[in-house]
Amino acid sequence: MKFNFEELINFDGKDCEGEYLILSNPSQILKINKKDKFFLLTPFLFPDYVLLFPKIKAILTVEGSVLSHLAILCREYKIPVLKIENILKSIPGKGVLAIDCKNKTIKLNKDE
Amino acid sequence: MSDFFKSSEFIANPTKLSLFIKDLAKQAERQQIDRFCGKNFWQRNVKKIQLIIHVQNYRPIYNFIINFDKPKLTGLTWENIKILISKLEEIFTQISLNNIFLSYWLNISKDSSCKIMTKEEEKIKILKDYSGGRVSLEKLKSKIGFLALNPFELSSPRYLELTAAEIKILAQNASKFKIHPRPELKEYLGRDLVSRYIAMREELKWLAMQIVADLRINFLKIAKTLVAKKIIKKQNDIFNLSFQKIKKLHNEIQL
Repeated sequence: MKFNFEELINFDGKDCEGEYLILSNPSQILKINKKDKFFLLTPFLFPDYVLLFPKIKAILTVEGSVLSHLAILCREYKIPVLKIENILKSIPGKGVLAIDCKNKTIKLNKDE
Repeated sequence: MSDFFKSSEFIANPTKLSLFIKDLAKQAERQQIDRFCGKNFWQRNVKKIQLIIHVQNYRPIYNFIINFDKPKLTGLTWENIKILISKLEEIFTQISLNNIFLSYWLNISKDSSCKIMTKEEEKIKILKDYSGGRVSLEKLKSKIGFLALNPFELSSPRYLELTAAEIKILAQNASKFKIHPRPELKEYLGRDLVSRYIAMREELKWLAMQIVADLRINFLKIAKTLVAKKIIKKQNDIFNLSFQKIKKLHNEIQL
């Protein structure tokens, strides 16, 4: 599965890949038990996700803008924010994704 | 317009009861938009001039923040709810006004960075201090006990209600956070109005969260009575009732 993205807060231009996790509600923060950094996929830019900054490689959101408070904090702390329409509709709750900065695309579960 | 009330960032998956908070916010936003956005050519220009005059002066909103007093509550639950709602309306009006002014300055400056430490970072700092043993759990709860994950949702338990283990999870996340040192709003002497309006938006949200936390306490008191009267099975079921329904029940059985 491939998706195009729009950069809300700039990626540093390096392609990267890693595990992703979908959070649809900030209360799920209490259940996260991950040691490695991950990509956070979320429908909205909830400010509570600031608590996860040390664990996040980038935030991939369906809605939100550069004026969202989380986006403002992401800029300050150099966490990239990518906006992707429809990404949450047809993907499993967790898996692996790869970001292609040149083509502005994201490939999900690339081994499948 | 700033995004705060527009999108679901405001409340994630709102319960039936929390929808009235969303409605209060929308009403306040509508009033402020009508105040500064005209429908025809002349109105638009007159209101734009009014906006340009008001937007220069951040003081009225700043004064609202620093002079804010938590409302004095009576012993009567429904009276408390009315007082808290009226206070919440006042804060939402200020947030809406602040959002309009913030959008105005962002359109001009195109720079959304914030040179002031915001409340979200203050929260992280307190959690970090707790994690490092510099602050006790009691102190943490007295400072930020009114906060919650998804704080504008009435059914969300406040930090005050979380177990020590749950607070520890939050604190462990915060412990690895390297806060960028910047002045607090009260100490900021710069002229950057984008930063001021961003920081003031967060301060206002912080005030609103305190009111929402008090509303939750009062709705749970009502829920206790409803459980005793076998109208609902458990206290949390109150969040599945609409505000109007609870008001009706109050009138019928004098909660």
